[in-house]
Amino acid sequence: MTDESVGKVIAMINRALETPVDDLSANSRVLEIAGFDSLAMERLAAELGDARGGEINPLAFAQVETVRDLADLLEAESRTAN
Amino acid sequence: MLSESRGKPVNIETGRFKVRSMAARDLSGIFRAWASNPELMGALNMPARHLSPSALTRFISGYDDKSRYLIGIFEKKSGNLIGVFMLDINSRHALAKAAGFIGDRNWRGKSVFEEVGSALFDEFFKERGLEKATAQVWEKNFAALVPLRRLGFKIEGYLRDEIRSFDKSERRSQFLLGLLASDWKPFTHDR
Repeated sequence: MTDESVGKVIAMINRALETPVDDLSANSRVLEIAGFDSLAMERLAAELGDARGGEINPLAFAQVETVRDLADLLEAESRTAN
Repeated sequence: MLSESRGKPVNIETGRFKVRSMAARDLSGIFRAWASNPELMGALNMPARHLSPSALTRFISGYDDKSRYLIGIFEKKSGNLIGVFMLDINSRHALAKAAGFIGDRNWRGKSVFEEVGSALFDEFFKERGLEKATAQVWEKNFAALVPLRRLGFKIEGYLRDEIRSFDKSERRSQFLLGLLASDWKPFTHDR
């Protein structure tokens, strides 16, 4: 997991939220982020899919706990796509 | 008078909602509109249908508050029905299969299921002898995972091509989620 991937994921989460938050880190737990709701989850899934040019691995996405997990997923999907 | 074959209706209050077993009188109006809404029913993998009064009567008669519960979520302020929880109980195994939807778009993304599910499962685990609840979620319905996981449901499986879509155009993979009474903690926002 790179800082760049974490930064990308944090930007994605903030776009998915109605009100962005500024204290996110790799250790932030996604379901505990203020304002993160089912609609944000849908937007985040769509954006992650778009970033990879297709769909994300649903099982891996469904199990993410932290921003770090999302960054790992983004990188893994990137390796798969390449 | 309730038939002896019926169980104890659900009747709970949360901060914003009254949560109670639905009666025939609740099934007109908005409930019929939801049943005929293709977008809403499609998300539940069901065809949209225009239900006649007799069909609604047959529908509600299948819920006995013992083996099957149809539970309405009513906003306290307005009294409006905004969504539904369904529980199918396997009493031999003290196991419930849970499903539900928010019909009123204005309430989506407002943590309704977290609030209602917390009160509902608290009662079922502590007072009604339930030992486990499960839910199946279509793999593309990521939104549904948020309240379930916040309530403590764990992903226990991924069922490849488990069910047919309602229009039989495809098969749909499903997440299987489970929540044990022994793991139960009511939802709080700081969890």
